[in-house]
Amino acid sequence: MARSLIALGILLILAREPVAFGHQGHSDGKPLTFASLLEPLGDDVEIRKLQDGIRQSGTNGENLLALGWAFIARARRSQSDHLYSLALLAADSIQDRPANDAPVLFLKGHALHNLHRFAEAETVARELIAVRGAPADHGLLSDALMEQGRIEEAAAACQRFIDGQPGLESYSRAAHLRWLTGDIEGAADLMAAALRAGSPVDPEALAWAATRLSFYSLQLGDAEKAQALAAWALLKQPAYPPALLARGRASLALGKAQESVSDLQQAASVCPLPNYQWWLAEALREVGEDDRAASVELALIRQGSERDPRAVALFLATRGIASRPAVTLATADLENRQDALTHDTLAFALYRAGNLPEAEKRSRAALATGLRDARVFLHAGLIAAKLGHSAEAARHLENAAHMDGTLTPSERRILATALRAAAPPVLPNQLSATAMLETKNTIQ
Amino acid sequence: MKTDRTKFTKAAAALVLMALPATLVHHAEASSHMDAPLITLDPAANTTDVYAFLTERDGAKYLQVALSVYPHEEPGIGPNKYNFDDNVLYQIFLSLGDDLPAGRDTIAYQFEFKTAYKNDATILQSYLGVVADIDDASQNLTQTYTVTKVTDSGSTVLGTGIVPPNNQGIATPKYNVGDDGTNPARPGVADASALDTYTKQSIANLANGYRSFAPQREDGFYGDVQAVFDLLQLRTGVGNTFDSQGGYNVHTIALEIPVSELGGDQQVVGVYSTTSRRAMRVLSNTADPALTGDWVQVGRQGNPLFAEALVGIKDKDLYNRTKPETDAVNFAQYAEEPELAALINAIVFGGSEVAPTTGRTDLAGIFIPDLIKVDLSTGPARLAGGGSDDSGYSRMSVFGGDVLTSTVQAGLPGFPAGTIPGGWPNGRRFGDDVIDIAVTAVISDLRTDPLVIRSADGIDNLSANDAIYNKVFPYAGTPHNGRNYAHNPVASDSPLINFSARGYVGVGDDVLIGGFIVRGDAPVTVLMRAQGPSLTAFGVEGALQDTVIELYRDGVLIGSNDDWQDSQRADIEASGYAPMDPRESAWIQSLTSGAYTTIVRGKNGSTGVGIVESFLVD
Repeated sequence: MARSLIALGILLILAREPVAFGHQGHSDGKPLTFASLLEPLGDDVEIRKLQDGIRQSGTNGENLLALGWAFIARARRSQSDHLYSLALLAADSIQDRPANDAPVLFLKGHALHNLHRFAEAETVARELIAVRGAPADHGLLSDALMEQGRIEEAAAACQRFIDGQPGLESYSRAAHLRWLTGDIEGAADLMAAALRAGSPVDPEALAWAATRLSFYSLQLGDAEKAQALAAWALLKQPAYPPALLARGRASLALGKAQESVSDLQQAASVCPLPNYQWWLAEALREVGEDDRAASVELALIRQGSERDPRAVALFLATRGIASRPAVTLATADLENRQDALTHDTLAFALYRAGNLPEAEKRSRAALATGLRDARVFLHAGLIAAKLGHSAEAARHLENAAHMDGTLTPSERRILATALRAAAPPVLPNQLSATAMLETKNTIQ
Repeated sequence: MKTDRTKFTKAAAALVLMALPATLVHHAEASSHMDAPLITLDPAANTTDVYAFLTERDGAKYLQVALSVYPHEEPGIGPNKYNFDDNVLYQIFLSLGDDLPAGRDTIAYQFEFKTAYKNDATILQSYLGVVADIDDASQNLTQTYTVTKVTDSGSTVLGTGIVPPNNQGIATPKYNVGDDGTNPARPGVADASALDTYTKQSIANLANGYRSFAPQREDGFYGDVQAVFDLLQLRTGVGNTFDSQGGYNVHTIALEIPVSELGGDQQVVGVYSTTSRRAMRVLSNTADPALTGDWVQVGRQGNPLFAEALVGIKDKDLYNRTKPETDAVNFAQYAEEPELAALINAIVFGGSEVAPTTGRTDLAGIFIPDLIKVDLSTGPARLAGGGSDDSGYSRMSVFGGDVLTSTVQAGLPGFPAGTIPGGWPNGRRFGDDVIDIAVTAVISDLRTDPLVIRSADGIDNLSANDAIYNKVFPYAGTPHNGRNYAHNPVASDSPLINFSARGYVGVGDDVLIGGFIVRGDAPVTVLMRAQGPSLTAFGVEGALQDTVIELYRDGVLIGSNDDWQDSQRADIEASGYAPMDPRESAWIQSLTSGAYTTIVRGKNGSTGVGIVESFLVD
């Protein structure tokens, strides 16, 4: 009953409020002006000092660059895209340096990338390489290409980065590329090397690497290790939203839903992005707090489409509601970001909308890089099953089942149902591994 | 030597010395050991210091070289995960003959590490129990390493070694005074037999007479870097000192090279070090499935302070990525026209060009190429550290009168033939006060005959390391104990570090043992005291009723007292530390730097509870 009411509420929201497409850089509803750079930002001493410096000694490239990077550093800790917008504004406000000044381009490229303006980030990165060509400039280009689904080009750029500057930054990027191509073990090895190359001087970078390694561990079926790595990340960077999310997910995979709620609650309050809200809602439902979950999900729908349309589209598709808006959101995001995960999101939204041929096409695009991800396999399995491709469906679903620790509880229930439908009949004393897994999922 | 320091102020000179790194780009954290933006974020590959100096043992000469990495290791951390990195290649290079002026490598000594856990099914990462011997079952995380010598003619594996445990505390008692994990780390010694168990056990004897050692060690660099970056408010006055590296450890690779392996002692050799990381393959492919690539140089260290105080911000990362053979092209201008000298003139000397700002061939001779040049033809370098003989040693090297005689160099102008510095920039010893020496060199004119020396001795108001070095291999000091250490304690500037003790005094060897360390160049006056009878008044039961105190240095008895009123009574009373009971013991003695042991016995075989203490007397 509660779920029906939520679905109704979501539909009402979508009917009343226009959905904003694309990642425009949230600015708390206000247009950004130069004065925005000098607005107080809580208790951030470093930013306040830099703002005071600008007030006292005026603007110049040096202090605007410093302020821009301070915004990015804070954004990485808090996952706030508003701060990335401010960083971009700082870069664009620099008047006393030429337009192709390398430090300015570097800041601008980072801001654009984090604002999901990947094509623009690529342009800036290419200009930066022409002007300076430092190893990290190739890293920026790799980031922009990766998000646009151009994996081979991204890998080549990342190789230039790692060849010139091996270390945490380049290792962690390369690890993500390995992950995108299905080499989870290789990604974990490289992320571990990244961790060893990190420094307490930059705890956020260490925490980020540990959080990613936590995710890889979860995929590889070691939820305890995933939980420990996330906890370690939180020691380095207390209240770090990605690490809280990682620990909450690991707890959920271990069946410790109650334990996960506090982490996910804290993560979502610091970082109210759709993905965080979704996991919180899942945890709340697991502990029977359906009303609170519904409230979180409504906020996700209400606020999330601007900040992360892909996540909202996937949420809607997973819930099996609002399939047309989900397709619209995913399609719009795909124009900006052509990576495997966006193809997968659109595939699943199209599946829910009944457009199976197009869903299959997108699903194959998602799998083309070799990505091994439970969610992508689940969606591919469901699509294949609906198309009557039983063997392919079973293969994808079993792949998903082998790494189901990264799925939300509701996704695991969908997987269990699909496995049940796909599994051949067996005698009670001849349970297959798949069926056993299905049983495990049902219990969880 | 002509000395002129009348126009020089400590604060102003240190200001300009350290002003350069303060404007590093946004993401860098500048401080000593934090010299270039990128490498600061990679501590396992971040070189902090290179040492190189000449020693003699059993009539043979040895070139001692050491590389330290991983700045600011906090001793009191858990799990103690500071380690060498398996993905970093640590190299120490020598330049000989014609390669020296060209900055080319003649020999590379490569250190590669492997890390393993004896038990990975536990949360106890580094230690499973008290480590009695290195590599025993209690040392869970264990690193081993291979030393390879590389020349144009090929590679030779010289041998392997094991990394002893970090000094955690109770888990690693033998690093610490009295083999007690709750005590501070042992001070340095002058006799190899007196080294702690772990150090002795992990010194590796390699092929061809080489020895190596690769452990955690106390950070041998000292300087008040904090004050420099605290709005340049440098400390002044007696006792008001601060060692920014005080209480921190580093990881150090030490190699003892027989001079005979280098073709004899009639030469000057150049020494520097690099760290390199693996360039991993981003994606594997069927043609070449290997996922590891070439080594890429990410860090470099030669002379102290070159990258920090002379090289401009824009070139600091370039410095770390290049070899000395390109220094003449890339960095010569920083030595020949040092901005530092110009800043000193502007800020300290009111615009007068006291410090030469151009044509600094003297500085270029030190820094370009950036190799530590060590003259092997001299006698052994005088060393600071444990033991009693520091005679002739000066942390200011030649500026403190500490010189050596070369048979292959003409020597310094105005000095007897062959006279060269006893320490940096002829080599670099543990204890060389590189900040004071560097500023002295910059404001002096070492091109003239005679030299014009303007001393910056005491520039940062710090004249000693916070720990005592060893005078024997591996020379670097014992790592600070994670359970008992301090970063610049109130008394850190005190020349006396006291380890008092209270306990039961029995018979025979069952004595009460205390001790103290005297630091610094100048002798200090110390009062040693043993109390027993007076403790009864404070409710102590079974107090020792008559005390005898003895003082030892290097195992040799150098003083004792039975009843304190027998001699020096007036001085002891004036000190304010006079015992309360005439049967108790005390005396005052002037002592030079070193580690001392105090022992309390009961007179005529008596037993009971006693206290032994030591005090600095003004």
